[in-house]
Amino acid sequence: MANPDFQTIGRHVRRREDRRLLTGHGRYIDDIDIPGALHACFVRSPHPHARILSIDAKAALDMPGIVAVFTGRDLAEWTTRLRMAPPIDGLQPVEMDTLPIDKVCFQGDPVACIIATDRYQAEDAIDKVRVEYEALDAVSSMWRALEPDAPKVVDKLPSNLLSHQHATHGDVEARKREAFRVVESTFSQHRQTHLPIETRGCVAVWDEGRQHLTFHVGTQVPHPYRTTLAARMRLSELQVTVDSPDVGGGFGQKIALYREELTVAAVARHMKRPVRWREDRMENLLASSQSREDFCRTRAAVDADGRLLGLELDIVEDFGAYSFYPGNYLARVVAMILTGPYKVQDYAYDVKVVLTNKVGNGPMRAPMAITSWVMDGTMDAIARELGLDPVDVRRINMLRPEDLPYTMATGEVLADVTPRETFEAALEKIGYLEFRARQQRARAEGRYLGLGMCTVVESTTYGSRFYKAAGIAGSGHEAAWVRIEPSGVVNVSVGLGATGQGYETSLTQAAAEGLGVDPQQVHLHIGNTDVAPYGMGSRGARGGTAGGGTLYLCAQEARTKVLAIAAKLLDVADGASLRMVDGRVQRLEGGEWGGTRLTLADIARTAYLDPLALPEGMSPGLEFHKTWDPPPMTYSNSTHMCEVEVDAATGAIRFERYLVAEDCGTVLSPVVVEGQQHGAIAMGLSGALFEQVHYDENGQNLSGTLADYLVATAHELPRFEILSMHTPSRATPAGIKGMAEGGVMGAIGALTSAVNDALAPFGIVADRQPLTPMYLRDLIRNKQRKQQ
Amino acid sequence: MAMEFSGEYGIPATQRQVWDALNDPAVLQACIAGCKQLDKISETEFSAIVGTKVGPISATFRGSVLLSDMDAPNGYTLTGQGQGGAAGFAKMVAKVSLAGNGDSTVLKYTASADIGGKLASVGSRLVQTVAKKNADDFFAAFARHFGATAAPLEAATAPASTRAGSRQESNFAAMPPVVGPMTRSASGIASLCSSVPAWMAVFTCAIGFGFGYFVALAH
Repeated sequence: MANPDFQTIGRHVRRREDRRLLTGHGRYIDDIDIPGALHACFVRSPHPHARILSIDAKAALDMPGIVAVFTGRDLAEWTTRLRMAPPIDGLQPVEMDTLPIDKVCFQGDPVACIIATDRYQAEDAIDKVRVEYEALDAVSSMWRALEPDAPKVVDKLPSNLLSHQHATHGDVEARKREAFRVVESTFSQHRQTHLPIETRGCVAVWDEGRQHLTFHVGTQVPHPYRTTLAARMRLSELQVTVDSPDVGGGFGQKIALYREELTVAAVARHMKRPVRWREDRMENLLASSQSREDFCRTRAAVDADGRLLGLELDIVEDFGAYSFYPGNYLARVVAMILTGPYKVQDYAYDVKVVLTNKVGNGPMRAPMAITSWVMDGTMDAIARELGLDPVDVRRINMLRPEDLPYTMATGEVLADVTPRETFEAALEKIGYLEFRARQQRARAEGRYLGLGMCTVVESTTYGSRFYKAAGIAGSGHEAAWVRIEPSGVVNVSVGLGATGQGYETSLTQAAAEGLGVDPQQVHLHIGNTDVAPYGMGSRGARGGTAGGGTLYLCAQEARTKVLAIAAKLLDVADGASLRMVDGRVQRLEGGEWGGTRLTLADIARTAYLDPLALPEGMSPGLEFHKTWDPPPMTYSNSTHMCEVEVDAATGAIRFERYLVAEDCGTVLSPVVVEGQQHGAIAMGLSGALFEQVHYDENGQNLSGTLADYLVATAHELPRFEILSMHTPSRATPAGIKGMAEGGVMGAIGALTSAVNDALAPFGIVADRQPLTPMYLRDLIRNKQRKQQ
Repeated sequence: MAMEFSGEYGIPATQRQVWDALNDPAVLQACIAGCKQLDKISETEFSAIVGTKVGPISATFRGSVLLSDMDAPNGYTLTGQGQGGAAGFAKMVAKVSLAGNGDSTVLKYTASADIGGKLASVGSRLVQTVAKKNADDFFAAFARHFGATAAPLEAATAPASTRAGSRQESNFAAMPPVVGPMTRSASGIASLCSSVPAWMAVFTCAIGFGFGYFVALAH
């Protein structure tokens, strides 16, 4: 996979963080020992929707070890409310208290915070805090939420419709009139949660003398987190340091400042004592953010060959009760990039986001996960209705190399992507025609094989211009610094927040490439806001392009100065005839690169300790800082193919084969990318098969343990075959595109497509997940009953 | 989470004796394990405190029960609710009827119950079974009060709208409601028990305990 253009980018280097993490020497929140720290725990509502009539903590305060009990009224004095009201057309403004004061809006909503000398005592005291509730009817589904007589989750809003956006590009109605057929398909995704191995947690240390808060918290976005935390506590940014140590997974759950963490920070300041909190697994399942629950309907106007003439999309998303993010944030992206690898210019969408009495949504690895399933599922539906081969329908609609760059109906521009190439490569590798023959033979034996395919165009790096165009507040830039120390050691930093992605491996490779040193000579410092530059952190798949790209550019600037110094020391005209390889300066003479006496350490020593030897006018030292705003969007692409056998008698799915052909441009670190491919596909398959946050009709969450919320283990998953392709982006440093979420998108689409292919003889279509044996048996049974 | 269950028990006492005992707080308190307090506030209202500490959960249920449709000595309807603090809450409506046959009496009940909070989040898979078992335990204790052993004659548990609420789960809703002597065919449930951690089975006993208590108060 090594790229001849690069010395270190793409080189196979072992993950540098693994030695520490795998030998038990990682430093997570609970490894941070703060003597005398008090422990917080939260009293949570058993009701999904209820007025809080009174809270009586007297009995709890009499218990041993209980120091204090605080409620929403206390927190309202110490913190500001969260107002989520970006100027976005169609989005209702909402506000929330730091802890609920008047009413609770989901089962698990925190109503009081107990502070004790240890966690056991705090937990025991929960039972002694008497909370009197007046239960209200709860809204437990998005369909109920939209009914005119539904109870209102937010009293001040006119209805539960939090956001409603629609757009029309071209003339879809005309295309529908002209069409040979209008094919309608529906897709329902179920509520899931991020489930990091390390749940949320924090330690707040207030320094009364300096009036300064050090907040240890696992976060993906250290600087934006600090800005928000300071503002909500009415502190200035100089009074808050956020320190994010090793983090055991985030997947989008560790971006926003949530109410529990803010409460802990505010209590620490109020009590002038360190306070810590560790979310337990049940809290994580019941009260941390969730995602995915949405419904999509497409209407595809097609000609007799299955060519897409026009497309309509309706989305309804269940956003839960609270807006830690703007309500349109997730679903709108699905609408904007839906058509992905397929050509269509007449396109309209309608996106409704509704409030229900459930945990508030947060972006979860591939917030746009449903996109590729919807689009390839629509292709499958067209093939089914017109009696065409699903491969032919995809081919006739898929972008060809000569179509690029392609401006999608929504204005998004696809360039340097290769959907056609990944699709054809995957088809060939899987042996499509041979499979069809095998499928026929198996059916004759009463066995049901299916092949599913899903081509993904993954939006990876969101630049500021995308956010602006999508009506989403925020910047897409990233920041980096590089400091070459007098010894020649290279320290670097970016504003990302690591949660297990292997940044210490991939980003040091990017920096090493830019500078011309061995990656082992580079050390990444990340997560502490006193150290790291102000970047926007880790979201989506931006780490590689935004973080790696900015660091690469910064390292290149460092190299330019280093070579300019070298030119002076070697008495050559300028740095153009010099380069640095593995930390040694080389010189071009007679068309040949040859070694010189200089190393990076020699130059660094000069820069710091003998500045008068530097070129005229050059400032001493070797410290560099860079910010960079990526292009509006970068895209990676892939084609997933999945072969399954469905047991018609039990509804069980067995994987026969799983293949992905993926083109994610220049790869910084092959081992990191392969890990992301495996992880993303596993997460997608696990979600499509097992994981379900289950709310009953009264709004009670019935999935409070890992015996209820099922997650795939290695045992349930197939081996992943990977075909790697590398078409660099021409719009980014080193051609980096980023990746990490496409595997989720492709997995849920390919698996569902495979199951439907297997079940085709029964004349049924699975249009919702999870694909449980019960659900599939139910489809088969109902169809057979109807036929009898 | 809503559920329904019912039971039928033979008790070796006359109908009048059973009726009186069912209205005697002292008898009831003795038959409910962990009952700290049981007060008859009026002819049709009880209040009670039942404490338990099982597994990770320490719960004290404070409840009230209202009796209606009083038809001494043939039966009544009870409506109960209990707050288990951090463990959640439970609500139940049960119809209880007595049929005397000389020296023995057949007690029947049908109940619909709703639980919320941690009880629902942690125990939804097992709560019906365990609730039923606790009801049986109560009646066994109640029968011992008459110096004999009560036998469940026939009983049924059925998931009413359990797991039937959301769109995703209509596969459950589409299953025919289970009727008939379900407690006898508990093998499926037993295998479910074996697939979950032991502490959970223990914990859900606490939930069932809450139910046992309501069922107990009915009588």
